[in-house]
Amino acid sequence: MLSIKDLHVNVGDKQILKGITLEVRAGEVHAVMGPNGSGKSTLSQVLAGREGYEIISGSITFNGHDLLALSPEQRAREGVFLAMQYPVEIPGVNNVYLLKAGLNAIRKHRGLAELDAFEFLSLIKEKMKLMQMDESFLNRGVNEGFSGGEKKRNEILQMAVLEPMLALLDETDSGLDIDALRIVANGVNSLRSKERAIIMVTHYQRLLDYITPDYVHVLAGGQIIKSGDKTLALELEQRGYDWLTQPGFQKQSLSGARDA
Amino acid sequence: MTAASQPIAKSAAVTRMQAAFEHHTGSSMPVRQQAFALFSHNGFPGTRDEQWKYTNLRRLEAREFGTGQPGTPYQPEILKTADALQMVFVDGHYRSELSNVPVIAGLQITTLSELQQSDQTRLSEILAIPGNHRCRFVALNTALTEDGVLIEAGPGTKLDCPLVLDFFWSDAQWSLMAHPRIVIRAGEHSKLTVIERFTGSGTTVHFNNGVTTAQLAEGAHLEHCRIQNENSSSFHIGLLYAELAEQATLLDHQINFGAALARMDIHVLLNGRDSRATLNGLQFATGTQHHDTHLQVEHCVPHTQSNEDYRGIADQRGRIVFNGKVHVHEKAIKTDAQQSSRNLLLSSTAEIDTKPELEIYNDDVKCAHGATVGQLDANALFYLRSRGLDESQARALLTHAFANHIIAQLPVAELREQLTDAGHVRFGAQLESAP
Repeated sequence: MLSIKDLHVNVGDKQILKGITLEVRAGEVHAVMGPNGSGKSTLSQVLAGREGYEIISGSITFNGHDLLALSPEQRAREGVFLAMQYPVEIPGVNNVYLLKAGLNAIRKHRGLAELDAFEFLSLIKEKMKLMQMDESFLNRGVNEGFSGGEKKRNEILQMAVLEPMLALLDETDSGLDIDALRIVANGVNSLRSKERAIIMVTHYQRLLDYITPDYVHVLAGGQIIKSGDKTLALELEQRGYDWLTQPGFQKQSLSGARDA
Repeated sequence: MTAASQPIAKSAAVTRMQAAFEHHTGSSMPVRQQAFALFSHNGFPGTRDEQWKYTNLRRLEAREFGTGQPGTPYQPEILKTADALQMVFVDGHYRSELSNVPVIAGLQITTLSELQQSDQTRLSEILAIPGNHRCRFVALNTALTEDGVLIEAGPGTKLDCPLVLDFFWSDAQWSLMAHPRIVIRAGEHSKLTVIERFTGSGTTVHFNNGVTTAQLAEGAHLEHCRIQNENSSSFHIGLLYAELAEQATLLDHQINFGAALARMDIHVLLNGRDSRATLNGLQFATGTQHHDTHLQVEHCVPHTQSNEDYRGIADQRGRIVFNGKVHVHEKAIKTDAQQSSRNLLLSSTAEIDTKPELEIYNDDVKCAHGATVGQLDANALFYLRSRGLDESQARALLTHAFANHIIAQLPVAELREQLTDAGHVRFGAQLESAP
């Protein structure tokens, strides 16, 4: 589904990603972990198409499309969704309005009939129940006055409504208390399917207790320095990242060679 | 004022106004004669006048305007506002057959054309230039006004429904001018809502020069709206002048969407303790439109409050001017004055000039102002696009959200909807309404 090959990305003059190679197939859940400043967020932003990142070399293919040639909205319509680390507050733009406009743009692109107001309302109410969100949310501005936890829940709600092929979760667990984390994880798990792939970018093992990944990658210094299964995350939890980033550690590019 | 030193202004433009004045049915009234003398002495303001620095009236001066005739056959498409008193004016003349003015206890409504016929003494009294206002357009209005309305709410009168004043132009092929005069007298503890709505059509260049004066007695509450949606060739000039007694409250909304050139002056005097003025406004200039609003709020006595929230949007080659002056007099201690001017610059060829002006003559006040000119938030744009909205739709949505902060505060639902629709057309995208 997603094939990243030797991706080099600069922000200004600074090299952030220095040769990322990653294969993600439908049905898989990947966790990308790593210390602060390793390039985790850059990777998810580049995948979603945010401006300000210069692609120096490499390629990203998504379901046969050259992803880097697509605008953010084209990516969304092809099925890429980014749950943001810092969801932006947009006063005056109604939550429901945004979701309905987004969903219908995506449905139209896929050749599906657009939902009318009534159909949409019943859909969103069902998804809100899943995310345990209050109906008052419907008429509020996008993320306006939301707490950190509510914003993250709203991201997952959007994801549940838009039903992407590839979901990117950028530090979705940060700032969540344990109850909110459970709700968010529940929302994500409900979206796991054979057709869908999920990439979770996270700092901590905690989220992975609730959403079990098939693969864990360690990103440090702009490169994937180690890949493994969920036990790698546990090892990181115990040992930190230092043992991987210290001199003498042999870089393993499992991600590219992996044939799982 | 440097007007006196500009004799060239006494040009063809003033001569044309002179002709209009001589044909006016009320030209023998001293109040009108004095006003016209003031106008013709000073002429149109030029850009050397600080108050008109950014607004050049050359195009207005160059044009000839006739005056509309009462009863010109024209059936405007009137947006009926539920449960409202509605008065319709065409080319500056009141049209009773298009209006709906039921009798309401405590509310007295008299048209100026009626007074011109029946009671010139009363007319002279209400036409007196408020506070010796120096603005030359007020003088011109006083001299040339043909119609308008005197709205008197008796003490304790509380109106549940708004009074809507609708101004239209007939489909005349020649340029017309109108000088409507609205006089609002809100008695003690009365409460009323007055909405002025100016709706243009076609492309004929017209000139509206309106003056609204409001006197709010003790404890009176006036909500006033002015929705300016003239055609984009026309000129629109207006003044709102309000005096507030003790505990009176004024809530004013100014929406400027239309006209080639629009200039509004809002002048509020807080004359009574615990009086409060809230002034909201939205200006949207696109194409080559020019929108200019000058506010002047005077805190004259202790314990008064003003709150100004103005937003401007300039796209294409549009131009927005905002000048917000707050004058706190020496004895006006415990003044609370807040001013915000936020502006959105949507193109590199648009221009926005915003200037807060605070003159404070005592130390015991709470005054704050902020002025910003910015572009659409890149993070918000990306966020919307990442949810599948295309760029133009995302831009329109954010622009609309910015404007809607002001529109959402308007008092009548139909009005908000109408402006939201008008806004959508202007913001460059057809957005379906939210569920």
